[in-house]
This record gives sequence, C-alpha cells and structure tokens, in this order.
Amino acid sequence: MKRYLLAIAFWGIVTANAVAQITNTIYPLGVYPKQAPEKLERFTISGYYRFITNVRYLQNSKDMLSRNSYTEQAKTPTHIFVGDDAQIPQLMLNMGGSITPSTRFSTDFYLWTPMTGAGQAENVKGLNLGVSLTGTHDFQKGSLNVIAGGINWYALTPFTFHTNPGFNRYSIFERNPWDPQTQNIADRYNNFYTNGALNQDTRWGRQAFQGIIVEANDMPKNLSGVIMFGKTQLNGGMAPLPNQSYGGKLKKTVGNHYISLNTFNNQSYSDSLLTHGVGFNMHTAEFEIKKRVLTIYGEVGAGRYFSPTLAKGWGEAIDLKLSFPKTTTGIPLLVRYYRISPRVLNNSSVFWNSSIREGNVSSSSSSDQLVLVPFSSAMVPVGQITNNRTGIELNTEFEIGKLKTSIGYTNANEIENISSQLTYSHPVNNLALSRFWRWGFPANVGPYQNLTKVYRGVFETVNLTDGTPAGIPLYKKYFNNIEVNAKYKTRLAYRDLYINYLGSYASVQRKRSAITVFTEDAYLRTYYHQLEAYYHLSPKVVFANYVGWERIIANYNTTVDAISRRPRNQEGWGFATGFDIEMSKGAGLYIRQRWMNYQDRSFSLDQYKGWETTVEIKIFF
Amino acid sequence: MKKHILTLALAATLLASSCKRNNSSFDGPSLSDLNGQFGMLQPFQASKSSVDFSKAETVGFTAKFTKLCDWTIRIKGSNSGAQKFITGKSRIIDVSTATWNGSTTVFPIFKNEPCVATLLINGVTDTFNITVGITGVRVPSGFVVANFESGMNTKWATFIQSGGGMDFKIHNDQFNVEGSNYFNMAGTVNWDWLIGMVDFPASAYGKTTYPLSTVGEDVYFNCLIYGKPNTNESRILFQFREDDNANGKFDVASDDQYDNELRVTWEGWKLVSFKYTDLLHLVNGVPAPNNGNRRHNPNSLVMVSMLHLANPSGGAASTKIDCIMFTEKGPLEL
Amino acid sequence: MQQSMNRLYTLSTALVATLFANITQGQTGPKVRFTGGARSIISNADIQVNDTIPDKTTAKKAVGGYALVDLGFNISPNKNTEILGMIRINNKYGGFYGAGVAFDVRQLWVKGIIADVVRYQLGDINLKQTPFTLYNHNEDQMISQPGVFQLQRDIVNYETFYKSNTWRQQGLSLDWGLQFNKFVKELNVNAYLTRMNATNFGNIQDRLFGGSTIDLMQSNHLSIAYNLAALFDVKGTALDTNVFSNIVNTMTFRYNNKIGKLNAQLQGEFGNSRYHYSIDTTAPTLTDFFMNPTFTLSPENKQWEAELGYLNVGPDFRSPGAQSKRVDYNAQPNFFNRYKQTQADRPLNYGDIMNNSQLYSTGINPKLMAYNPLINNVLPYGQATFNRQGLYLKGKYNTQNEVIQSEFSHHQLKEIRGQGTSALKSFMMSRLQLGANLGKYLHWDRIAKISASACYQSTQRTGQYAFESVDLTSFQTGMGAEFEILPSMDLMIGYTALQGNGNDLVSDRNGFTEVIDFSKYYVDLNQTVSAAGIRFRFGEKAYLTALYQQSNYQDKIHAYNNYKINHWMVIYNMTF
Repeated sequence: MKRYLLAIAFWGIVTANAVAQITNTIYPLGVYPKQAPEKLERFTISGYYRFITNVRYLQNSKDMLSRNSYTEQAKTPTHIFVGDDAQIPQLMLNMGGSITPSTRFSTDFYLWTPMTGAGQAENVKGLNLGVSLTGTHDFQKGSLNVIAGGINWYALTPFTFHTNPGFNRYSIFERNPWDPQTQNIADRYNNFYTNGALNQDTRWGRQAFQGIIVEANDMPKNLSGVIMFGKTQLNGGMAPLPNQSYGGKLKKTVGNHYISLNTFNNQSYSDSLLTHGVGFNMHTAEFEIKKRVLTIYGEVGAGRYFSPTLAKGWGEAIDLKLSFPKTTTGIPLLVRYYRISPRVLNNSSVFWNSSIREGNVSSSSSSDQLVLVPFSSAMVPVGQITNNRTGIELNTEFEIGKLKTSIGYTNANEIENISSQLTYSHPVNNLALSRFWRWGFPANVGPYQNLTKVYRGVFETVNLTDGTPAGIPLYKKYFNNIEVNAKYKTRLAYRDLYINYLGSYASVQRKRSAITVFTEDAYLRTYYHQLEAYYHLSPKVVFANYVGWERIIANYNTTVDAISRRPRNQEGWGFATGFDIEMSKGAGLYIRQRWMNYQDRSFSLDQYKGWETTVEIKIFF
Repeated sequence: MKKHILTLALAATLLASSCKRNNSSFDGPSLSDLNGQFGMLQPFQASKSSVDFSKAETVGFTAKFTKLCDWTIRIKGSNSGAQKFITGKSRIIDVSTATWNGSTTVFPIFKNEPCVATLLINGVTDTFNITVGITGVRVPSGFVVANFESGMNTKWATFIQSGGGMDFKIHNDQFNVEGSNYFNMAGTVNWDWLIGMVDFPASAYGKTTYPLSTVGEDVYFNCLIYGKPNTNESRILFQFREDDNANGKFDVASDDQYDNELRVTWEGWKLVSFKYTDLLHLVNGVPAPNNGNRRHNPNSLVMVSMLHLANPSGGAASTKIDCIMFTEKGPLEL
Repeated sequence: MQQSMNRLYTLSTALVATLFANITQGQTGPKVRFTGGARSIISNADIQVNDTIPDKTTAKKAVGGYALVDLGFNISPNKNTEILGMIRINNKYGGFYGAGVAFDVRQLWVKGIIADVVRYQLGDINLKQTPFTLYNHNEDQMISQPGVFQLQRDIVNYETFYKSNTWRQQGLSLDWGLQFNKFVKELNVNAYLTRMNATNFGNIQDRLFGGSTIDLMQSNHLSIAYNLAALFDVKGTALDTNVFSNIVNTMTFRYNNKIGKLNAQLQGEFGNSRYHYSIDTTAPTLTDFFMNPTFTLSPENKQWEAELGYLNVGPDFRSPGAQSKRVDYNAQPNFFNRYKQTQADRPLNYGDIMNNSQLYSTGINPKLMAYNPLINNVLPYGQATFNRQGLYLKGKYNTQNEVIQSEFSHHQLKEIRGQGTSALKSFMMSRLQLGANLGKYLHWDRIAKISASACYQSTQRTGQYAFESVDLTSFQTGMGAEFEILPSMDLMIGYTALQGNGNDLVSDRNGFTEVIDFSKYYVDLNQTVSAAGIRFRFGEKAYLTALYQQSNYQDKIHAYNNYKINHWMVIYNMTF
C-alpha cells in the first residue's frame, strides 16, 4: 500500500528544462514582484575629507569673552578646537546617479567627529545641501532644465537673486573651507596672479535656494527664461507657514546683447495665524550692450518692502556700468553708477539692507542674527553696495612689467539719513576674530558689546552722537574708499615668488569729498594694509607669509569711552606664516601660524594679543 | 469535461452541506430594544406586601417590558427616610435581578415602617409604585464592638482633651442612623491634633482576644461615620493592637499594631468598611515596619482604639460614629 | 521500479529556471548595483471654511514638501543569492544645511535558491494568495482614476508598497515545485511565515502570520489548490497564556475548456475560518464558511470577457489577510487637520484619500477596520466581506484596435444574517469604466486619452418597524483626459465626485468583532475633486508635474462642516 501511495504521489519523471509553472497556477504563487526591478544607469560617489584643528592662545580672553555663553571660555587663555565652526564637516560625500543621460539625482552626506573624547556619542551625521533632482529635456526648439529638491546655488540677476562676487581684492593667505586642491600646489597663487581670481566652488556669486527651478533655454526668438519657487535661507524653516520666495527671468538675446525682465519676491509670515505678512518685491530689467569701444551693462528696477507695520511703498534701484576696454581708454576702466532707494529691500541680492531694520530681524527668539551682513550704514569694500545709497565707482587694472595692479575707487552717500550707526570690519585678523565666538552668529559680543559675528568674519558697530537726543541722525553720511591690489611675480633662487599687497583707505563723513578724508572731519577712517608673500619652496611645498596692519580712527562725533573720554583709536597687527604641502595627488596639508596684536587706545578693554595655529588636511576623491 | 464538472460540483456540494452556520437570527442587540416603544408587558409587583428582615426574609420584585431598559427600583422608608436602590438593564425584572434583603443604600437605616418601592425607567416619564411593609429590621451579623445602644461600656477607656466645646457623648436625636443612639465626638483643641479617643479592649467583651477568624482576608472592620459640613476636617484613626507573643498584652517592641486613618471628607452618614489585611502599620501617618510577626492575625487582636483628630489650627471639629463592628466573609451590609 | 522511484525523487528545477533569469542578472553584470527612486514635492494649500464664527485660531494656508532619495544596494555575492538593502534620505522642505533630515531603512531582504531546488526570500517580502486568504484588495477605489489623480495614487502606492494586491510582510517565503508526466502535470508549493508583532513579555504574545498554498495542476484544463492562512499567537512568549488564532482554509479550483469557439472557465474558491481565543471566556469562537464559484466566457482573441459569479460569505467568516483595508478612516489628515474657530477635526475628503499616504496601512490588521459607507458599503472588506450572499456579473470589452476599453460589473447581494433585526439588508452595486485612446484612433504619435467611470451603490432594508429601515445610496463618478500638447509634455485634467445620501445603521463592534451597538448614519454629502496639471516626461522613469487640485466638501445636513481646499503641487519623480 505504501508503495502505491508513494508511486501516486511522486509518479513522473522530473525534467530539467521545465517552463516556469508559477504563472500557470490558479493564483500566482510566491513573492512579488515577479519582474526584477530596473537598475540605475550610473552611480558616482565623490567628495572630500577635511581635517582642521585650531589652537589659540589669547592673553586677555577674559575681556573678549566675558559675556553671555562664552564665560567658560573666558576663563582660560588657551583653546583647542577640532573641526570647523563654519559648519564644513570632515567627510563630505557627494552621491549621485543618472537615470538617463539627462536625468539625475544627487545627495550629499557628511560625517563629523568633533574629537572631544566622547567618541560615538558626539559624532554627527547629516546632509549639507540635501537631496537634489535635476533633469533636462530637449524639445524641437529649446530645452527644459529642472532643478528640484535640496539646496541649490543659483543666481538670477544682481538685484533679484545673487551675491556680490567683488573685484577679487582680498587676502588669499587664509584658506576657505571650499577651496579646492589644485594640480600644482602653487596654482592657487599663480591663478590669482594671472587671472586675478581663485578657483571658486559652485556657490560663488550665487545664493542658496531650495525648491524648484525651471529653466527654458534656446527657445524660439532667442528667448530663455527661468521660473523659481521655493525658499531661501532667510525664509526657510519647516513649519507649515507659507513662507515662500518666487521669481523668474525672461531674457532675449540679440547678437551680443541681451535684455531681460526679472523679478524676485518673498512672502513670509511671523505668526501662525498668518495675519502678519511681511515680504518684499523686486522687479528689474537687466541689459547688456556690447560694442567695440565699450560695454554698457545695467539693471534698473523698483522694489519695496511690505509689512503690516511698515509699508513705505516702492523705491528705485539702478545699477549702470560702463566698461571700457584697453583699446578705448589705454587701461581697462569700469565706471559704475548706482542708486538704491531706502525703500528697497532684498536680502537675497547683491546689496545689503541698511535702512529697514525689521527686514533683518528673525521672527524666532534666537539671539543669532537672521541676516549675516551688517545693518546700518556700513563701510563696504569697493564693489559692495547697500540700499539707501547712491554713488559712483571706478575700477581699473593695469600692468607695469610683472606688477599687476588693480585700483578701485568709490564715492557714495546715503539717500536719507536714517541710521546713526556705522559698521566696519577688521580684515587683518578677521577670521581669527570670528573664531573667538564659536557656533552661531551672535550679535553684540566683545567687551563693549559692539562686535557682531558673520560668516567667517566680524564687524564692529559705532554709534554717532551728532544726532537728535532721540538718536535720529541730522546728517547724511558720505563714503569714500580707495582700494589697491598689487600683485608681483618674480623668481628667487629659481623658484617662483608671489607678492601681493592689498590696501584699503576709507572714510565716512558728513560732507562730500572727492577722495578719502584723512582728517578728523571724518566720523571714521579705516586704513587696512595686507602684504603677502608666497614662495614655491619645492614642487610640493609653498611657504606662505602675511603681514597685516589696520588703523581705525573715529572722531568726537562718535561714542567715546567712559573713562578715557576719547573716541575709537584702534590699531591691529597680524603676522602669519605657514606652509602648503602637497602630501599626495589630491591631498594637501596646510599649516598656518598667526600672531595677533590689537589695541584700542581709547577703549581699554578692547584689545587682544595672542597667537593661533591652524592645521588643515584636505583630501579630494 | 463532464466528468470534471461533475466531480467539482459534487465536492462543492459535499463541502457546503458539511458546513454549519451559527443560526442566531441576528447579530448584536435588537433594534427594537434600542429604538422600539416602551411598554409594560407585566406590571411591577413585589413578592410580598410585608417582610421581616430580622428573620432573614427577603422581598423580590418582578416586571416585564417590551424592550431592553435601564431600570431602577427605589425603596424609601416612609418614616425613616432610608433608601435602597436596585438597578439593572434587562427586559425582565425577577428575583434573580431584584431582591431586597433589607439593606440600605442611603442612611439612616430602615426601621419597622411602611416603604414605597418605585420603579423608574430611563427615558420613560411614568413611574410605578407599590408598598412593602417592614415588620422586622435587618440584623447585621458580626461582632459588635460598639453600637452605643446600651450606653458607654465601663471597660472602655476614654480620653478627652480639655478643649473648648468638648462633646464626647452618646446622643439620641434626629441624627440617629442605626438603633436609637450614636456617639458624638466634637470639640476645639488648638494645641494638639488629638480631640479625644476611646479604647475598646477585648476584655470589655469578656475575652482575652477579639473572637475573630484567624484568616485576615476574611475579616472586615466596619463603622458608620457622619461627616459634618463646614467644620474643621475630622480624621479618625483606628489602631488595632495584636498580642502576637500571646503574653496577654500588647508590647510595642514585640507585637504588631495596624492602623487606618480616615479623613472625613463627606457629608452625612457613610458606611466605611475595610479588610483587615489591607491595614498597614503607620507611624505619624507614614507606613512603617511592624515589630511583631508582621502578619495580620485578627484572632490575636487585644485592643481597638479610636482617635478623633483634627488640625489644631482649623478650629472646631465634629463627627459622629455608630455601629462599630467586625464582620467576616465580606463587609457589613446594613 | 526502483530506478524510476529513484528518478522520482529528483526534484524539478523549473522554479529555479525562472529565478535564474533574475538572480543571474547579477552574475554577468557588476556585483553591486543600485536601485530605488527619488522624489521632490512642494505643495501649497489653502482652505476656505463655511463657519459663521470668525476663525481666529487656525491657519488657512499651509506649505509642505520634501526631497527624498531611496537608494537600494542590490548585491549579488554569488549566482544564487541576491541581497537588497535600501536606505531613505528624506530632506524636509525648508530645512537648510541639514535641518529636517531623516534617515530610514526602507527595506532589507535576501533571496536565493537552496540546493537548486527551493527558492526563498527572507526579510521584507510582498505576499499574496487568494482573495479569501491573503489579498490586498483596493475596495476603497471603486472607480479608476484619471491620470491626473493616478499620479498621486502612484506615489501612495510606492510609499506603502502596494503592488499587484500584495501585502508587505516581514518574514520568510519558500517556493518549490514538482513536474510529472503522467496523471498530473505539476505541483507547486509555497509556504510563508511572517511576524506581525513582537511580545512585550507581559500581556502581548509574539504573533505570527503564516500560510501555504499547494497548487496541483492536473492538466491544462484542471487545477486545484489548497490554501491555508493562519494568524496565531505563539504560546509561551508572554506571561498571558491566552492565545489568539484565526485560521482560514480554502480550496480553489479552475477548469478550462471550450464551448464552441469560446473559452470557458469554471473557477472558484470555498473554505472556512475559525477565530478563537484559547482561554478568554468572554471572547467568542467564530467559525463560518464561504463559497465563490465563477463562470467565465471569452473568445480566443480576448476581445471581451463575461463572468458570472456567486458569492456566499458567512457572517462569522474572519480572514485578516483578506479583510484588512488599506485606508484607515480614523486617521488624521496631514494638513488642516483642525479647522474653524472651534478647532474641530476636519473630516477626511476624497482628495485626502487620493494623496495622503499616511492614511494607508502597510500591513494586515488582525482587527476589523472601520470603513466609509459612502465609499463602499457593499463589499467594504473586499471579496471576502462577511455576511454577503448573491450573484454578480462582470464584463470587459475592448475594440479590436484597443481604442475603446470598457469594464463593467454588477453585484446584487444581500446579508445572510440580520444586524439587530431579522430583516436583511440588500446591496446593489453597478460599475462602469470606459477609456478611449484617441491617439490610436486618429493615428497620432502623441498621447490622447479620455476616460470616464461611475459606480452606483445602494443599500436597503425594510423591516417591521420604521427604525429598522435603511436606504443609503452613493454615486461616484470620475472623468479625465490626457493630451500630449508638445512632445513629452502632457496636459492632464480630471474630475471625480462622490455623492451620497440616505441613512444606515452601522454596526459598532467590540475587540472580538462582535456587534455590540449600532450607530445611526445620516448623510447628504457631496464631495468633488477637480484637478489640472502639466506633466513633462523625462523618459519613462522620470517626470515633472505641476498640479492644481480643488477639493470640495459639502455636507447638506451639517453645512457648518463644509470646506474647500485649493492645493498646488509640484512633483518631480524618478524611479530606477
């Protein structure tokens, strides 16, 4: 019986080449899906590793750090910090995949170990720019580019959505976190000498934007356009409040010329019931006409800020540049005229807001600033503009043998006397100074609570005393600035030597002046001198050196010290040396040693003396 | 093909016929019960018109309705004002759901008196009344510590503070709850929590120890306590002292004492009952370890003390107590 | 005899052949490959309410969105094994420089072949058996949705792993089969065991869900199968010794043959269930049976198909694997969940069900879930809805060139056992779906489609008393169109509506699925959702769409509950 049952149960011969029976069952058996999923066409991982550590000795840390949350640090003169409080992590991975040749997703991912000894408990992971999706679709006439998702660095026009790229007049001694490795260790300095610029990463001249950007290119009639909708850093946040920014551009190209209509707008709410809506609008027309003898560039438009408490209406925004080539004027010359009404506000553009304080205030209770640029009347580098200001700029550059010189001149004034404060910077030890107050961007720090930290820098605020008793200024302020950037390349002992000088001579006063005022007529005079020398010591080593001297003098129409009864009289020195060492292909070691000495002879507590050592390893892959 | 179809049909039929379903006519409560009109199918009646609870008699109630109802039977003493409530939810009231053994829900206790039993139906305005006469009141069973019917036992020890308006006496007035008398405890003592106290030794009842079960779980302590409104909150502390080492007396160092402190937060008479094994030893109101065998031995109980306490800064305190007794196998039902 | 017996013990590699097609993709190509998807959504919504009291407590506008990438690492360490681990990186809209970032493990499984015979998959698995044992029915989507709504539905289905009516489970599945050359053709077996919940070492046992299907194909004409689906607690895994079990046994059969030139198929399923707690005396033991035979006719070219079926599912039939619902009607909407000055809970509308994946379950539920009588009162728990008997008719017709496609169904059912009364409810449901491919008809090389669908339901009961009467009707419609106005750029429009009025007495059930009370359900409701959008297709795997959708909720009985939501969305979606 058993045999028969077995025979019935297992009768048959098994064949090896059977068809797939599962689909023949009454209901399909087994797990799903039945088809293998498609795979990604291409997937890449790149990124960098960056280790940075900083040891600082500050003789009088007690005075500089004695307030707020820094009192613990004030107790000891020496500080060791591993990492970068400019929020650039140690290991950054950029991962991306292509679904089709024109459709791609990417994300970054970072890891950070603060090395405090706490181990895994304090390690950090996260995203920096986030998940981004891009795609391109070609039509018969034109193409469509889409960028969506996480933070994308983008620019429309200077007045709508842009950052100021400047005139490359800056010190290159201290490295930026995003500075790339160059093929040759000295390329950084050589490029600066040759091109007047460093290799910059994608964010240069652009603003961070999260949302969706749709570009239409090569459309009929030489049209192209952009629509963007989403959030900027200044109206971000994950609350369901409909804080949004939106804008766009429609551009027509005619030969070498173009004209575009642009807009950028913001609508935010400072309460959950959406009754307190604030924001701004900016509409401009941008054009460029290129002729043989000159190029005319301009952006003209109007903007406004609105809120339930403040609605001053529209104001004008004008920026005109005439660029003369060498063939026309002997040396290249850029002449600029600008005028930006105090009623215009757009913190996502190239001009700073100095007239509408409400527009720079965070709606949260954080003591950090919302906008990381100085408010009030700022003494700005040549090329940087603010609202409530009009002026002219001249920029030129020329070569005398191996000496390449770039000179900038600005003569500007306020349109309305709104602010009784001035702000200025301390470029000589700027980066080191910003590291005194780590994490966040606190305002009103320092022994006299007049220093404000911005991204990798600090600015100081001085109050004017020649206004009404209520603090309303009686006079408009006039600004002058002359900047000189001289670069020289030579050879010493068969090796390249680069010498850079950067000088800035600026003043702000009650009356118009043709050039910088060097007397006490000026509310404030600032003189900055920075001299750098880079010696390509060996194929893989550069010896870098820096000397900086700054002098800031205020007059008696500014706040005086309670004890000395005198206005600001500041002098600061910075001496630094260091090495750039190529460890291997794509890997560099950067050492900087800086000695700092700064003193305000009137405000006795405003002083610091010490040194800072920074070691950075950066490896790209 | 025909063979296949036939086989399948046969198999299905066999299977179907072998399956049986729950043959209830519908799921859930009847909609008629939930939504139908109310009607009396059988009038509200009592099984007897007079009852002698002292002989352990009971009276049962009956009625029948057209739908499921929430019903309440309220029995009220015409003279005493005592009330008894019996509640239920059904279509039929019968002796299994509505029988009265003479106990009371709202004090005072029933007396020998005519009572009116009223049937109330939730959502129905009509009420239905019948009369039942009590010819003998319910006699609670248990060991009576004090019901004050015969006055103060001379073997009880009392201590009364010399405060203002002190009244620690037996009264007989409109506040009677059970029998004819109750014990009043009132006074103002502004220097001490203790107003007055009474000790009830086992010897007062001619016993060396209280005649209670050895099983603490079975023994309940009961009393009726009156809360007087708008006075300083009274607290009654009961102390139960055992003679664990059987030396004839309570030794604090070697015998157990259990306590219960009641805060009189109610108004009117209330029957308070608690299981002997639920008692803890308290020191200044805080549970603490005992010093005896640390087991509840009601059969070793030699002394029950009752202390009337009140906050000395609170002014006059007043309460009343009656029917202090032990029961077994359940709390006292009056 | 001995030699043939030896040969008999050699098992088929038929299943292996199928799996090889999948597994060995990994062998000839790279060992690690990537799969997954990415999506970016930005949405803006505003709500208008019909409230006589000025609202000063709730916001009327909301934004939201995210950008996410699901990155799956598909690893083939050898030709017989495949591993998938997928992570999700989700970046909330508005979160800058790492704010609002979440990392999750989306799925993890391994699959392969044991001894070249048995296929297995372990980890996150998608399972399906039969409509009465384990089946993810979609009975809350009564009508097919136009493309403009289907975009959002597809995202919901992706998020919840809804595919091919399977349920996502965590466990093990095994398949193997045998082939024969006499008397019977094939025997295929599947067995699975998944874990529903873990013990808390106190009063919650470890609960497993397991089952098996043994499918015997006697010939190309006849197949029968036995199916088992069992939900059960594992005794001893918690202190509480009361264990629950819900066992479903079914038989399925299929017989094919020809009647003239037509293909005829007699198919069906019948079985029983037992719902039981081992110790709890207050819990009932529910046993019941069901049967569902169908007869289908279709021509060789499959141009049309007609199906006649009989359904008889007992009132005590319980099958959690088949009766679990997708939508949780007690869940909150994901925006404007409170509205009006009184901060009342906003009732879900048709638009919420379309696009909110948080309303959807991702696994089977051992308890009976609530249903919306307006959306589906006839078969709210799918084909396995208990307490139903009657006939139904289904049909399909496509024109020869597939320009026109149509489907219809008609159910005429009634209860088997009354609810609170011996009078029985009767149910009627008629559905019609039409689609026209104008592009094909006009020989365009661009997409041009229109679609329309409707579903009418009626529930009636007449009893001895007026309070027993039930009369509830609902009507769902949908229509839409897609036109490719430029190459790869489509204009999509759609409209869907749900109207219902009448009354019903909805059973309230306790935790043991027993009816304990009835809730009066009165409704006179009109919900509409209209949408329009533009879609750019970046190949077959990616698209960008901008959508506008308006949802309207009109309650004629409680007009103060009315509201309208305008919803803008930009969706950029990729799968790979």
